[in-house]
Amino acid sequence: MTKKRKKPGDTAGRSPKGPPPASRSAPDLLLPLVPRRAGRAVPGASRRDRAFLGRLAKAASDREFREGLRRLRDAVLRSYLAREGRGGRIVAMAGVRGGEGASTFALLLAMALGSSRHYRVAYIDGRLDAGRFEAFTGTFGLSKNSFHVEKDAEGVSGYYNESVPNVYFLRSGPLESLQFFSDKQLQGFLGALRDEFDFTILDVPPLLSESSHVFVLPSVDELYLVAASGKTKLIDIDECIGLAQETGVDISGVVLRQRRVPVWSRRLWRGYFG
Amino acid sequence: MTLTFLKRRLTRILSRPPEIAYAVWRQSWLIILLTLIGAGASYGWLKKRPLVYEGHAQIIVDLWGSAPGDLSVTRAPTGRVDRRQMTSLMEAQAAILMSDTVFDLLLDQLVENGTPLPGLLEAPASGDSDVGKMAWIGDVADRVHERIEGILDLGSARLPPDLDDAELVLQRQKAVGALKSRSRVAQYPSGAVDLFVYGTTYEGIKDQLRFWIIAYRTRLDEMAGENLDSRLDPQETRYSEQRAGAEAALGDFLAKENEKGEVYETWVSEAQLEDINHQIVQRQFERQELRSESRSSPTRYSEVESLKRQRDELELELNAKRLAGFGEQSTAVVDLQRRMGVLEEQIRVRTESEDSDADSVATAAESARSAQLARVRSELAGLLAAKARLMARLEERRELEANLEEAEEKLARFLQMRKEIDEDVETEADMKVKTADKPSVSLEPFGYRPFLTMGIGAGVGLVLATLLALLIEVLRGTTRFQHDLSSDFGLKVYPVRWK
Repeated sequence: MTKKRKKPGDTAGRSPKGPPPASRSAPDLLLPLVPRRAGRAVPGASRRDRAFLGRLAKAASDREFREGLRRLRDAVLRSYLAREGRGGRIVAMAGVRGGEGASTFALLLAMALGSSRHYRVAYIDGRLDAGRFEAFTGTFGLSKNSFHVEKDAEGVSGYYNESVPNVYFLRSGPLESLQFFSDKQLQGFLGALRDEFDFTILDVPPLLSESSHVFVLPSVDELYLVAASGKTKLIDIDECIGLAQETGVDISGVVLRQRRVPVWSRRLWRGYFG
Repeated sequence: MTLTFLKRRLTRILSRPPEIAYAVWRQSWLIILLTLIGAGASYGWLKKRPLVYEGHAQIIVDLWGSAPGDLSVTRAPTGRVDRRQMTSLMEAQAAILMSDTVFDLLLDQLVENGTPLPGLLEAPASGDSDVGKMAWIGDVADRVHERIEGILDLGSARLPPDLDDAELVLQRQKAVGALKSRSRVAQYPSGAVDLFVYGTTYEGIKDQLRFWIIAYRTRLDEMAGENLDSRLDPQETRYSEQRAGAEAALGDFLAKENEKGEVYETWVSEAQLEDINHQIVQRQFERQELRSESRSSPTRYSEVESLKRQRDELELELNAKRLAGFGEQSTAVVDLQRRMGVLEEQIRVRTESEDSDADSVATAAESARSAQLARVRSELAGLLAAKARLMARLEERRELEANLEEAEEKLARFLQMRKEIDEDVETEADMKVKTADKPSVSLEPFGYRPFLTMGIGAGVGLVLATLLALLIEVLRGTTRFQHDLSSDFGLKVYPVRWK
C-alpha cells in the first residue's frame, strides 16, 4: 500500500468549476462551502442527488442546525482529545432505516471538523455512489490531490477544495459497498486513514437496511446513530443497539433530528421540549 | 411494538402534562375537526327531530276522608300529609283527573269543532297548522279558564262508569307506550297534580293525555282491588280453613266408628238406646220379683236377710246412679260399690256362722233365687255400661256437628260482609275536584335550544377527539423527544433541529 500526498498548492486535476471564493465570508464550520442553490446547477446529477444536495444546502443555512452540529462537533473533538495513544479517529454515522438524514449530517460534520485547519479530515460515502461523488465534485469544486491509498485494483483517492485543503473527500474504484467493506485489506486501509487523518467520517449505510456495516463497525472508534423524531421507531432504535453490540461497538450517541416544536413551548415547559 | 413499549409510553404521556399538551397540539386539526363535526351533527339532529310542544294542566283533588279503604288520607297534626299514604293520595287525584267528566270538560271541549262556549271562541288566527291550532287553543284556554269553574261546575264532578273492557285494554296498551317517553307528572303534598305531556301535534298531545289518564285510572282500580283483597283474602282463608277443619274432624270420627263395625247413624243409635232401656227395666222388674220372693220366705228371714236387704237397697241406689248417667269411675258409684262389698263380706260371715242347720230345701230354693238374681244383676250392669258408652259417642258426635255448623255460619257471615265492602267501595268513590290551573299548550317548542345542543355536541366531540389524540400518541411508536431515547435506552442524545 503506497500513498502519495500532494504538496499544498498543487492544483493538478482541479475541477473546471472552482469553489466559492474563500474570502467571500468567514468559513464558519466551513458550511458556506455549500452553495445556497446546491443541486440545481449540477449538470448530469440525478434527481435523487440533486434533492440530496438541496437538503444539504438547506441544512447548512439553518441556524438551529448549525448550532446542533456545533455541539456534536465539540463532542467528537472532546473524544479525540481524550483518546489513548496516537492516530486518528474513525467516526461512523449511520441511519436506522434510511431517510433520517445521516449522509447529510455526516458530510456536514466532516466539514465542521475541517473548520479547524489543524485537523485533517477525511469523508467516505459508505454507499460508494459514483454519481453522488460527481455531484459533490461539481458542487463543491473538488479536485484530485496527491492522497492515494492502494486498495483493490484502483485504490482510494482523495479530492479536496483548494480553499479548504484539510478536508478530503475519498473516492474508491467502481465497487459496491459490500465488496468494499468486506475486503481483507479493510483493516490496513483504515489503519492508513488513522495515520493520515485526524478524523475519518464514515457515512455508513442504514443499519437495518444494509448489512455492510458488520465489516466496518468493529473497526470504528465512534458510532453515532441518526434518528428522526416522528419517523424513527423506538423498537428500531432498540434493534440497532443490539446490532451494534453484536459487532462490538457501543453507540456513542444519537443525533436526533427534531421536528418543529409548538410555539407555546417557548414559554411552557421550555426545558422539556429543548 | 411490544406491550412493554406501549405501557411505558402510556405511563409517560399520562404522567407528564407537556406530553399531553404536545399530543393535543400534534392532533389539533383532528380535534378541531371532530369538535366541529360534533357541533354540526348535534345541530343536524336537532333540525331533523320534529318539534315537540308541551301541554300542561293542574288539578287539585279534595278527598280528605272521603276515599274508601286505603285511599283515605289523613292529615298529621302539623298539617302535613302522611307520607306513607302519599301514593294513595296521588292515585286518588289521578282518579279524578282521569275521569271522563273532568277530561271532557277541560280538554275535549277546547277542540276546534263543537265549541262549548259560544261567543268565547274565535276562528284560528294562525291557519290550520298544528302550531296555529295550539296558539288558538292557548288563547281560548285563557278566556275559558276565567269562567270554567262556574260554567262547568267541576266541584261536583263524579267518576264515570268504567270503559268497556276491550277498549280499556287497547287504551292501556297505547298509554303505556306514551307514558314511557312522553309524559311527566309532578305531584305535590298539597294535593296538586301537574300533568305534562309532550307531542309534535295538538292531537298527539290530546291523545297522550287521554292515554295517560286511562292508564292511571286502570291502575287506580287495580290498586283499590288489591288493597281490599290484601286485607280480606287472609280472613276469608282463615274462615274457610276453620270450616274445613271441623268437617274433617267429623269425617274422621265417623270413619273410626265405621271401622269398629258399630252403627253410627243417629236413628239407629237412638233405637239401640231405647232397646237397652227396655231391657234394663225388665231386669229391674225381675230383680224386684226375686227380692220379694226372697223376703216372703219365713225360713230365711234372719240377720243375714237384714244385711241382704241393706245391700239390695244400695244396689238399687247404684243402678239409679248409673241410669242417671254416672260413670263407673264416678265417686258416687265407687262409694256405693265399696259399701256393697262390705255388706257382702258381712253376709258371708253371718251365713257361715248361723243357721248351719237350716232347712236344706229352703236353702236350695234360696240359692236358686240368689243365682237368678245375680244373673239378672249382671245383665243389668252390662246394659247400663253399654248405654253409657253409647251416650258418650253420641255426645262427641253432636259436638263435632256443632263445630262444623258454627264454622259454616262464620264463613257465610264473612262472605256477606265482603260483598257489602265491595259495594261500599264502588259507591263511596265520590271525590271532589277543582281546577287549580288552566289546561294550556305552550307555543314555544319544548327543548328546542340550538346553541345549547350545539355546545353539548361540540363538547362531546372535543372530549372524544382529545381521547383519540392521546390514543394515537400512545400507539405511535416513534421517537419524539430526546427523553424517549435517553430515559429508555440510556443513550446520549444530540438534538438537532433542521427543516
